[in-house]
Amino acid sequence: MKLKASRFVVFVATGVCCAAAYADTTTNRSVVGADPDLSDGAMAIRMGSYEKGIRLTERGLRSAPSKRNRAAGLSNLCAAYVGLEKPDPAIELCNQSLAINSNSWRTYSNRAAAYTLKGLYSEALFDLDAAAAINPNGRNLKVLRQILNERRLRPKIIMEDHQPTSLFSE
Amino acid sequence: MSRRFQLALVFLLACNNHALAQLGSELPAGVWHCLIISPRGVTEQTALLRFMADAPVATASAVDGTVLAWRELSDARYDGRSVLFSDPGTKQRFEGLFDGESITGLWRTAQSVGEWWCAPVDAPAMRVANPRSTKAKRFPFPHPLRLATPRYPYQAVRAGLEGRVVSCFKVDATGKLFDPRILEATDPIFRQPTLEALERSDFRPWSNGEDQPPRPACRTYTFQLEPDY
Repeated sequence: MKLKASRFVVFVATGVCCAAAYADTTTNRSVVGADPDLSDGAMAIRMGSYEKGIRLTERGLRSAPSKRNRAAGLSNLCAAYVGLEKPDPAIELCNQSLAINSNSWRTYSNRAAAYTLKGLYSEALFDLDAAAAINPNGRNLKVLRQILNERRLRPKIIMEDHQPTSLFSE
Repeated sequence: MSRRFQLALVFLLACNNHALAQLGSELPAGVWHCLIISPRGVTEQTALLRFMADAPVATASAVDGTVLAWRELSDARYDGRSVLFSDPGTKQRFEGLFDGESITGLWRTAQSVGEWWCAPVDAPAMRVANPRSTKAKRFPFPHPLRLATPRYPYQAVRAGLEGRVVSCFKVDATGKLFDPRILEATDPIFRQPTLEALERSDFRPWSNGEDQPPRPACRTYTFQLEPDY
């Protein structure tokens, strides 16, 4: 079950990241025309080719993109490392991205996925709430929250009998 | 016109009185053990209700097998199936259906509504010559023998959903649980696991004889999710 959940986290993260290269930070509207390497890198990550996506994105970042594209590129790298199940570099890259643009729900979502992989559920929940506060209808936020719930919540059932013991005792 | 109206009114009153006279004679007389559930099933309290043909409904609580003082409520109306009475103290209006073995219904005030459920407290024994006796008959307690825990629905975990289900049922002398009913469920997702768990539960038999009446019992399952950090 845990393995399945982990794969799903990766799917969510890549799904989020791709849009990040193209899209405005708070909407799902595509803004085509970013750096070609960043766009191709995002697409590669979406397709699950994380190494290729990282290579292209890093090349795109070296070509001095705009501040916004740099933040998106770093967020995509974060998602790619989540895909590779390497949460530590992913968290570091998401932190760098958030230092540039602290209003990106996608980056918060990617970092939440990284924290989930690392087992830091309270941090993941915090980031997920931050993402939902920026964009309540964010794609995959609901799925990520479900995965997080599944991992962090322990079911407990309390049973209580309502026998009138005072009257029914032997 | 006015005379016609008066005649109609007299006729209606006559019918109503006739009906009430009939109702009174068929009251499910005896003492009942009841569960009064607060709105949305947050809390519940147990109480005894006493129905008698020629007296108002009375309520009491019991401590250590001793029934405390009975408090009179309103007269009951009974039409062979549903019973209606009210508590002037709390302004609750009780309406319930009598199915021959238990009474189930709703209580209402101006602001709120809740459920109630009653089962007889050894009805024959309580309908003795002195119905105002303050000592209740003692019963063998049906000890749980096999306690089945409901499964926590997977979808509820994913949705972070917690809840509570109040169920009442009867236990026969061989310890077999039957006729389970859900009185309150905060979410329908918890109903099925509760019923399944009750099906897998049973009690220690207290008699081999088949003449023993079934015992009523209620069980509440609280479904909680605890963060596992």
